[in-house]
Amino acid sequence: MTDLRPLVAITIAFLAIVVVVAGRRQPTVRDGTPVVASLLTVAVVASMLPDVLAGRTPTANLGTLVAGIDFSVQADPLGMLFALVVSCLWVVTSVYSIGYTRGHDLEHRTRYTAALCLSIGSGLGVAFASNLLVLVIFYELTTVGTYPLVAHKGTERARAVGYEYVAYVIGGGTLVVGGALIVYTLVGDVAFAPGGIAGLADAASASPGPATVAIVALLAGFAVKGAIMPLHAWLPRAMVAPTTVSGVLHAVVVVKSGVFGIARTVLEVFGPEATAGLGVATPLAVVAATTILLGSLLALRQDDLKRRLAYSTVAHLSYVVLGVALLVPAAVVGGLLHIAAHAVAKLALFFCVGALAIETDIKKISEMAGVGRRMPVTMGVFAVGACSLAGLPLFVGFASKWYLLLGGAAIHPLVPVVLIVSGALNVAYFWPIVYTAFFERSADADPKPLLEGPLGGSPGSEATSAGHRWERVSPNGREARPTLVVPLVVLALGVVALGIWPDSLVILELARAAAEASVGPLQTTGVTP
Amino acid sequence: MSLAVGSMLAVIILPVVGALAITLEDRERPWLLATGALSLTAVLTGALATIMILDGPATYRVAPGLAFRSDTLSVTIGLLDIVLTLGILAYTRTAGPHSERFYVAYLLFTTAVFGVVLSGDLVGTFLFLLLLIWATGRLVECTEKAGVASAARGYRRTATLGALLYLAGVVTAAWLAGSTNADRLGVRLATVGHTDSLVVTSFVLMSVGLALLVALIPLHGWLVETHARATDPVSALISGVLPAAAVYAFLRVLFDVFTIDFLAVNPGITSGIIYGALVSLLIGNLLAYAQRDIKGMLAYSTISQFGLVVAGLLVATETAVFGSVIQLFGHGIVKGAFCLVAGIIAIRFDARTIDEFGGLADRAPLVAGAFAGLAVAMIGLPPTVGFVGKWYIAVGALEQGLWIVAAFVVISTLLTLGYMIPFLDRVYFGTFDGTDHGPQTVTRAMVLAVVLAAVLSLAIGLGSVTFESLLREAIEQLVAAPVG
Repeated sequence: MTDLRPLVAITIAFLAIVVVVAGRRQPTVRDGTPVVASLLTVAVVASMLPDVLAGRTPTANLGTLVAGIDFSVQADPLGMLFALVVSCLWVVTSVYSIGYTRGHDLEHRTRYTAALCLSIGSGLGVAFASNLLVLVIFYELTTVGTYPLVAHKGTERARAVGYEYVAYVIGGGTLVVGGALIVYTLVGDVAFAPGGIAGLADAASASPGPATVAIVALLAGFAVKGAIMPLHAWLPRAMVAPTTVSGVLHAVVVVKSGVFGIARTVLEVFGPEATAGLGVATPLAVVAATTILLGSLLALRQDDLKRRLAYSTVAHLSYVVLGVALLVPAAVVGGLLHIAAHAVAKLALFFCVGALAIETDIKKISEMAGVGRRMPVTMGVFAVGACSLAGLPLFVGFASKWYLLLGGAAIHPLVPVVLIVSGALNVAYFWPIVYTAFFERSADADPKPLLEGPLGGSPGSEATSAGHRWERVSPNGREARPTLVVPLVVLALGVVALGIWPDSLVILELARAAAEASVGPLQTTGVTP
Repeated sequence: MSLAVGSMLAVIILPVVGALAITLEDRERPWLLATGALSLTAVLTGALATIMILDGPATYRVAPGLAFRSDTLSVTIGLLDIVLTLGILAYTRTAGPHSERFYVAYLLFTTAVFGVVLSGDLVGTFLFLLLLIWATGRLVECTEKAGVASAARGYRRTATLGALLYLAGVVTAAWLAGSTNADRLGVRLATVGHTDSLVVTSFVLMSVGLALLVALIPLHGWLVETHARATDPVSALISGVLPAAAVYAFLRVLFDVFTIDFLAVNPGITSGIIYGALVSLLIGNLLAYAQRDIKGMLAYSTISQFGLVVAGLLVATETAVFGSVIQLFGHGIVKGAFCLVAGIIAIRFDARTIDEFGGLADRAPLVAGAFAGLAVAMIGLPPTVGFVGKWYIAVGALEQGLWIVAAFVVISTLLTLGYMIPFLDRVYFGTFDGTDHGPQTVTRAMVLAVVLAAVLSLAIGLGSVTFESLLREAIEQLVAAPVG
């Protein structure tokens, strides 16, 4: 079925770049274009939903890219899931971005806005890519788009981090190219197919050596962006970027394209059979589980808000990978669902942190005592996001973890243990933030037990000295500019809505369709021992 | 004389006519005359390309030792030649050199490249190589910078040595086979036997001679030297066209005269050249790291790129050879434009070394954008031509089981990234603290030329399949096992 809509969805963001650059002298045009473009994109993506849910795959084929491989984009369930996340969150991001850039008086706004559009457009390209090579093209383009964002501030540190970021992610991209090369040599095809590329399983058992090199290269390459340990180091350091950018890196395109690539590789390049046959699935699951636990523990150590969130992201990405690596339907559904669940919640958290920094200049947890009174809505949204990531019922994080738990319990008893321990760790690193914001004042703040400090916490001298940086405003007063608050509230509503009605909001359906196409039907009757 | 032969001869003769006109004219408008001559040549090259695509290859024998032959492959390199020489004119119009001497050499350079590319006889190739060397030396001399004369002298000496080595190989082969015509020589050498020590000797002589002209490591000294000393538009030719012409000559010797049969029965030589090319690729990239001066960086980058191209040729499958050809073409465009960007930046900001590049993007966003686009193509990120070339070479290498070549090709992306990023970092995130002579020092045409090149690098990458279908027949013939 030839259908230009996937292509249109990608192109809108690229056209937005042109408009942004052309309208660079008019702030309204420059800042407004992404909002309009993102709404258009959502409309186009959403218009494909009925088709995709009905089992059709809108495909736009632009002809041959290189011999034997087409430049074609398609909207299959897995791609739609990611594209919906990217496009919907782009709307929120583009509004928030206006508030953030104006609040922080960011320089080089044209470059910033254009790069953001490029990142989003290429993110959509990653989602809709119909084969490994097209995916690689957009995957590398995401890097081209995000590098200027990471190094945006132009300070020595930002530039050093920019180098490191590029080295990491292009290194990963190069590994992916290598993997794609070998896959192409093995079967002469790199187009995604649910359950694996036809013939690749046979080729893999005939020549396990090259096949193993290929799958490891692909997984490791994607794992760099997916911040799977030990390839995660760039992520916490990239926090030097503006907070909107951090949100985009964490929630919208970059890290998500990494785990998305892993899902594509396992489910639709090699397929569950060959992945298990090559003996890669179990190590992948173990690495993911380790990353979940270590990431959560490291998050506990951080006093810097953004760094705490960064390590939390490291942990949460591995939920996705764990789900995929377990290769049972329920777990895969949970993992894929977590792409969306984590994205919405984490974006909300980052935007809270950004708003906090703009209004009160707070960047550390030890400075936060009582800030809930100054910015109740912001911290309320923070609490909602945190609850979701901790996996509390009624929040979207619960839905994804529930499926993971269902699937994982059937595979190995250690999986539920990992999930429960990490859930507890999530509570442990989020609760102190919420607590100090709402239930403490700067005068009587308890020191928070950070693992990097002495046991029991260090005296909160920093907290008291920083305590009066912000003005107390009356409950009716303005909390922050509306371009900052409205996106936050929308995200919080999204987290709750997806948490309460996951089955009537298409995300779950898409995750199920994607999982069932590759790993077989989902057992709905419950866990079988 | 058919249409094809007519246009073949015309593209060789037209620039010479232009050069003559410049010398005879009263020294007023060398640029205009050169532009006129080269525009006409470009039109005829286009016509030649069309004829090649529609009617297939053509040959024309003038005299013993002088024959011409054309197919889509030779037209590709011819196109590269004319696109670059014409594009660079947009730059030299205001930035100079303005002298008559320069334009005469410039036109003869164009002719020489066409001659090398279209020659169907090894002796003819040698004669055109000599002309090429003379013209290049002349072009290098066209600047007032210190040390130019000695650089040009050194270049002439080295390059002539290369050409003579090549000639020695040709003479050996001719003595064995009784002809210098590429096609006939091939058949007769096969009857002598490809493992015959004299046959092998003649191949080695020709290869080493041409490797000198391609500037493979360790025979690369001249390129670095002339590249650094010459004025920027000349560097664009030295990097973009000069080694490409030599590679083309090598390709013809390799596949037409000695054929892949020779490579098959002499595995030592094959792998020797492959490893040599890979070393060039690696060392060239690594030496580029040590360069603070942008022209030095570009020179070493050229050396590494030609390592890649030669390695692809020696893989000797259709896929890999096509990869090499498109890489050759794409690299020529990108590197040529890169040299011009370096020139533009030098004219406007007096910036030559990496430390002077800080914050240029704020002052000259379009030039910086072209710089970034060309850098991306140079690094070889998809979907630019740099990526596509590498992809084909690597696929071809894997088909042949040459894992090491594929690995090097893939890794070279990262190596290139390593020395490109510091420049991009300065340009976009550094702070400006140099002199700005103002935007009026650089004409629109100059900027347009480099922006077009950046766009072209993307377009060729995306349209690689069209290229492939046009070149397929020629490349198939090239790598086909010889009949009989």
